[in-house]
Amino acid sequence: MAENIFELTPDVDIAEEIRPKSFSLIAFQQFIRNGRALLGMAVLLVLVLAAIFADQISPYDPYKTNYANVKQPPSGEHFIGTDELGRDSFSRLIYGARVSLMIGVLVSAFSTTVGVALGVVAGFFGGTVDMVIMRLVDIIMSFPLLVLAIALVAVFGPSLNNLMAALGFVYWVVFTRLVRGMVLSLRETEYIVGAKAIGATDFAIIFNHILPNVFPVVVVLASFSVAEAILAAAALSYLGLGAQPPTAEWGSMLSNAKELMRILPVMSIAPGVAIMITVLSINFIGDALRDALDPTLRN
Amino acid sequence: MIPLVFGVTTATFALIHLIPGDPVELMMSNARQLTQEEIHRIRDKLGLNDPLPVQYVRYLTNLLKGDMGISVRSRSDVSYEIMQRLPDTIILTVTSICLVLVLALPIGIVSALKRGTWIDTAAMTFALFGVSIPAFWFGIMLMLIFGLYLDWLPTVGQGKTPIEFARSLILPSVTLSLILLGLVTRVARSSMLEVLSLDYVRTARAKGLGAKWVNFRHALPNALIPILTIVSGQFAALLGGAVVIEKVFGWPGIGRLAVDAIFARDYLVVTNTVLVFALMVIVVNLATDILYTYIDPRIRFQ
Repeated sequence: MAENIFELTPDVDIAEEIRPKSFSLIAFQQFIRNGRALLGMAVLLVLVLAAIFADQISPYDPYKTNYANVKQPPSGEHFIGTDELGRDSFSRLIYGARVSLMIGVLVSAFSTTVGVALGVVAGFFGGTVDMVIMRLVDIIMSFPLLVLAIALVAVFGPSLNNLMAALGFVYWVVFTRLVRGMVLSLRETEYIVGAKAIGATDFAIIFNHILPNVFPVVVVLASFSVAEAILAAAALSYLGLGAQPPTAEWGSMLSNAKELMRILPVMSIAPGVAIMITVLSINFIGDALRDALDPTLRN
Repeated sequence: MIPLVFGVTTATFALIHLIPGDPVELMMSNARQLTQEEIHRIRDKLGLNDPLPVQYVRYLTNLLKGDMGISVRSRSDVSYEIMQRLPDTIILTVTSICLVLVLALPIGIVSALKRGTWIDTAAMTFALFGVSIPAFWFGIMLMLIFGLYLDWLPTVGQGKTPIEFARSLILPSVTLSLILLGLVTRVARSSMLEVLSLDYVRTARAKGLGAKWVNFRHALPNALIPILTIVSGQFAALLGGAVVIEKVFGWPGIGRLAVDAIFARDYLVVTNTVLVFALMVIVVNLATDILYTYIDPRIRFQ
């Protein structure tokens, strides 16, 4: 009989509906329902797996030259042909995913961390610290970011590491400006004034109240910055200021392909399509994150 | 603005002094080997042995006189080289901005007016591709299609006669416009949507004004302000893109000048071009601020 009592208890579904859902749960559900986001996630997953297991899945060694087999058109053996040194372009494309994704993630991680930290410090403490940080931001922002990155790479010498350092150095300002603005208005809210009044330390206020509030916006911006870093890195590598030969990288593959445009147009097409697919899938995710995390867009 | 110009020149000065290696040796790299004594004498003559603050003040006064030093590669004045190439960069960027406005405004506005229809979806997909395609690769694709296959347009360099010049400008400027196209379309749509939801637009409709009159006489002028903001704010990004695209199409602007100078280790050209780029950004932002007060009286009264 005891079982029957459980069956008679009020419908559990009603309780579920009444209980308010948490912010992250709503955001997660909204994100999952977004078809584009799922497509972006799926494509990105494939790219990440390709980058990780490049050694296993690429049909040829991307660095093995074969002078008996140069400038081959696409065929069953070489899906998108071979380059001027007889290297398999498809294998190089797979290895290129490694470089591009690494640049995107590292540059974004660096500029997010530094940018958010300086933005919080500037906005929360104000005064001289704020002034110094914001003047620096203003100066860096007066330069076209890509031009400043090019100049820094030019000064320190073209290499993949210098490229990442330069991009990281110019991108943090975007985060600092945004986060500082948010912190300035957060600082005046009642609950933070209240937290101060009951004696919470600056450290506690920043970690318990400020950071959780700026987090959603920062996540969105960080996801877009991955896409932007990949585009910028490809452009710089195309100019010869990033990955150096023989590194398999999409931008430098495009610059190699220029000589062969007439006879092997596929070499000019494929790496660009790869960049586009990568950036597009990241932007899909970024758009969905913005829709899911921005409460003002919710109905 | 003045402190910003000051900050930007200071940053450029710092950049020059970050260059590893001795400037005299860099300058003389293709000449015969110099003795230590000779190097010291040249350094003295160029003032490189002076303390940094002295060098800084001299650098600033020289800049005010328009003296940016001498190019290692061409042996001519850096300021002369930049001034000669600057008009080409300005023509390229201005043409691109016009293209962006001509394309992005109608697309964005129509997609706002037809919100939720297939037109809106198509326009927003177009905008998403616009921000996701690497612009320089888009240029290579245009080159491939309109230059190599169809043979309609020149792919590299700059035409001499006015008609040839205009034809050679088409592909680079279309390519460069891609950098802002997606973003401006999105902003045009969202700012139009926002204005359409305001009370005065509803009032205008309630008065019985026609849809065209309300949309274009009442709503559009106010929707243009955020578009001006984004175009001016993204002007720096446009210049950054111009550097790469000038290189792709062999367009003789200051972007290509800078990139070519990098590989010739002509550092004074590189750093001063970067400075000119920053000054252009500052001037455009200032001009926009002034423009605001003309087109929006509310800003003037604040």
